[in-house]
Amino acid sequence: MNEPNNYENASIATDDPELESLVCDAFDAPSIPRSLLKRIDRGVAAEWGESPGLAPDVAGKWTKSIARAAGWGRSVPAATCVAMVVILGVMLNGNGQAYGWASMMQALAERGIIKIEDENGSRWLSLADGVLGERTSNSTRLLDVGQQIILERIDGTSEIRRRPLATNVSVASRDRLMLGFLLGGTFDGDNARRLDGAHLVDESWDSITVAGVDQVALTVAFENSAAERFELGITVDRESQLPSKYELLNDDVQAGLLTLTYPLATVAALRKQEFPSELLIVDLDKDGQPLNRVAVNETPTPGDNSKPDSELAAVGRNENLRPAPDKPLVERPVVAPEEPQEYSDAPSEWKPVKPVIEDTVEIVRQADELLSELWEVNGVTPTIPADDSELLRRVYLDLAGRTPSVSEVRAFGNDQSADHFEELVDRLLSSPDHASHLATVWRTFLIPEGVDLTAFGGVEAFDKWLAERFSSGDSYDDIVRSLLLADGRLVRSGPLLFYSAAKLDPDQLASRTARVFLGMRLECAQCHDHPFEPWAQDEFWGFAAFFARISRPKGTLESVSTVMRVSDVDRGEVMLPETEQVVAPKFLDGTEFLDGEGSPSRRQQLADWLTAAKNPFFARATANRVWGQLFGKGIVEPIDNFGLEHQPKSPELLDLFAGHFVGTDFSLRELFRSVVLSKAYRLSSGAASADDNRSELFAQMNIKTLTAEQVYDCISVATLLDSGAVGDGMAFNVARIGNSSRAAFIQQFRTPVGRNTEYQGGIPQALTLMNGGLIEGATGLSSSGLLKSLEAPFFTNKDRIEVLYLATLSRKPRSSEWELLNGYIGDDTKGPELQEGLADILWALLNSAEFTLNH
Amino acid sequence: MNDSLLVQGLREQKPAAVQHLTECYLPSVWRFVYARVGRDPHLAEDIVSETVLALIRAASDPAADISNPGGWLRSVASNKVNDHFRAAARVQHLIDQAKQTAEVADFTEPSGNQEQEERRAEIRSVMDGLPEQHRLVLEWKYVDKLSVRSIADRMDVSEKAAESILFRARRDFRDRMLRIDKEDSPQTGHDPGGPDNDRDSQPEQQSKTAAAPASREW
Repeated sequence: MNEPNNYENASIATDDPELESLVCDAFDAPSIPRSLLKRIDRGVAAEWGESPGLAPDVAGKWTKSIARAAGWGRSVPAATCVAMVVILGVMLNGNGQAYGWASMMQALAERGIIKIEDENGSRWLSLADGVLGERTSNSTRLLDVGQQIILERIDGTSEIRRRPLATNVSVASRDRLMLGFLLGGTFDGDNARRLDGAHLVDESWDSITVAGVDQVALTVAFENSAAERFELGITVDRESQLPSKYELLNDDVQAGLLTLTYPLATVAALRKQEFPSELLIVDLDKDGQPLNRVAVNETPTPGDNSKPDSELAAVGRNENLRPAPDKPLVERPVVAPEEPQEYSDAPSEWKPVKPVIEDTVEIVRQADELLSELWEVNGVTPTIPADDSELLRRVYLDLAGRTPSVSEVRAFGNDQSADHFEELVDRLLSSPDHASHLATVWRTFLIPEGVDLTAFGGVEAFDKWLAERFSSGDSYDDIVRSLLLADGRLVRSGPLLFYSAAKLDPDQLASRTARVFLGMRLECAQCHDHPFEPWAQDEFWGFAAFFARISRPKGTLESVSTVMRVSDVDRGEVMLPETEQVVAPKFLDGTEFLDGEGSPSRRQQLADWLTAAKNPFFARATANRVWGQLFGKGIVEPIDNFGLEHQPKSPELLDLFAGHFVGTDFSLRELFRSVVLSKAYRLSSGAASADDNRSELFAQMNIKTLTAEQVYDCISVATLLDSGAVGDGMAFNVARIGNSSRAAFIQQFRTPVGRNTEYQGGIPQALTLMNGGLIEGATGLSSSGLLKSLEAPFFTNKDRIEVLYLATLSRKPRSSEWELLNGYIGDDTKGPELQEGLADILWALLNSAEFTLNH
Repeated sequence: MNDSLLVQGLREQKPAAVQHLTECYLPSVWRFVYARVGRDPHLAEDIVSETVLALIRAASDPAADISNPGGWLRSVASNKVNDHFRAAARVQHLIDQAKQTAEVADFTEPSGNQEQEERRAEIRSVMDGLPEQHRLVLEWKYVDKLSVRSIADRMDVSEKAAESILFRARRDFRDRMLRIDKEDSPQTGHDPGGPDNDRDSQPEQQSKTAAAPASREW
């Protein structure tokens, strides 16, 4: 922004977004209540004997339209009309519920698809998804505001035209989207630009009765940046707050009364119906000029140079059109054993995993079958399936690291489609929240706690790098190779922190690499042969020797310059402790190490071996880790301790998911998807009787303690603590990276890594939850975004309490809870008593065991 | 309709004058009061309706000299807010007794929220300290989102003149904000409100212990 002494040279342009945002924030207030206008009106009338008409019956014109349309005016006797006018008068002067554009929009966002039909065709809108569809007599169009694309299909052709949106409109611009939808016409180009800066300038409502049904006549006025005004009269259902009819009231437009309907369809279903995946896609630029032509389900491979980059990028943008899984299931040249793995053999004798080339549905079916056999053999009866609210909260916590927002809970509850859970899983897996959550979870075992990495950019730099890799859908073997082969200056952070954290010591690097990527605790063989597993001391040091030839500083790592480079060098060995015996590199499964002129570097050979499909440990360890993350316990437990002492609970199940992981080109996303869709994951965590065997064998979901990160994120989402965390409109994204208050909370609340079924809430943690700054801010009357949002006049007290439950526990209060709550906050409680009561309930919910557990 | 015509219209009991008053000045007074009464819409409604009716009554007196109805409304509203809190303070013990609760604890806000609230209060104070014309054009333009043409109509000036006023108002606002940011430091406890801002008895008064950084960019 300009310095004051530069103002003479400053532009005289009146737009000043920064100042606007400051002033709007400082003067944030609800619009003038209609009751105030009425009071002034009455006051002036008392003074002057004449009303200035500040609060006229604004519904007059609108009511007439409705009455005309309904045709009731002609048929209802005059006496009835008089009676209705009296009733209407009573209602207008009553203190009932208030209605407005905002409450209607909220109801619409939660409802799902809205549809309008007029003489030009039909159009539909999903406010929650930011997707608008139009059907005319000869074409179909779809605007995806989230992806900023328009798809168009002309009838009689077999191609889909795809082009970027020419207008800058985001999902957050819900009002503009809705206004554009109601006004009709193509929501792009000039038509959309007409709505630039459109904002609500006036609204009012009145009760009306149409054909004997109580309704609300809502009148709203919008004005765009060119001061053009759009006035709409909308009939809103009193109960659901959903609009049923509307009319444009501008004098210059004669659109007539239009009806809104609410089909039970999903965006995905409508999209599939209008834009079948087998059709070709033609990419166009903003001006409609063609860029390329590709098949929808033709996914380019990284090595395919036949397509220009722009084309790859263009295909990548349209993920929703691609069939699951993310990657094509391509046959890979893998040496696959025909016999199942015997885990009673020494790990060094284990055979490679057999790749499983099947789609997700088949993998899930096979997994369910294997689990049923496991339960039958062990005489275990699984618990009942989890209900929708339990499953919703669980999958959000596991995949996005947070609880769902109120609108997300409602949207899921309203989605009646058969595959709504599958769609939710897909959406979560491709969300930024999943990538950042996965990054923070996986960082905890990639980088040990207690290592100060501040000088090297801090763990945040590592989280950011990892989140970006997960977000871009990179295969896991690629990510691991990047970590193992990281080089460059230490200050560059990112993957180099893996090395910095281990202080570049070969033994530390060996033990961490083996634990994290191979699921082995090799460090027990560091000083002597492993006491319980058949690993000899020289095998540990043979593995450590792969990290011997890395440039490293003299002295301690903390004292060196961060501009020092990490790179492979041509000298360096490891020796057995307290001897001078040099140990040569040796792979754990006996694969031959190449040690001659022109051989790849040691790290290169290690990275190639470790991430190869035929590595017997890598895929199994990863599958087990993902399973363990989702179930709280691994198929092999502890999850990083494969060996003779710790046999898999179901070797077939482990190999199925490991094989699927290899078969999908190490797609972590697909691995998560197949595990989450399994029957076992969808079981309830509650049961009438306790049975350790049942939870051990995944016949009952384990109850997991929230990590410190999850506790913070859940409080943040539930109480709308960090409004900046809301990303593009309804897609809630948590600000995880670079959030200092989050980091401070986590430091105080941290639970031990890898023990997520043990509740470690000690006194400091309990006090943090009860009295800490975070909770105080989240439940404070003046600071809580959630409590402030409940001040809206259209909420009843029951609605307010229900919102608190949905925000924190992702469910509505149970009848027994209502009994208690009704005694605390009655229907007529208001003012400070209500505010404090709601704050108390919120505090109690945040401190409940149900909130701090993933069940 | 300019200000003198507005007052004249009120005096002559013309409904158009009340409508103009409601359209041009009511939103600003409403926001002003709403912020000052701790975002209590019922209380704000009481005070604003009393204030507007007071102006209408005052205008009916031919001897009354109301050259600036916008400023008049704010001054009266400010006095009414202060009166309310003084009266409330006098009966606080009765309120406490009735509620059977202990005196409200002086809890500390999370520093982030407190800073944000302080910042808002600072901005409101700076706006309050601006000349009436500057404050109004900033609110009309950036809060009410009026076009320059509409602002010019309201002020009964040309569009060019309105642009110029808006430019000077922005500069004035920034100068004052910059001054506050320079003066405001954890040690100073500076009150940016100026002589017209008696905030002693108002709920939005904030502690200055967590002042904003000294070198904010403006």
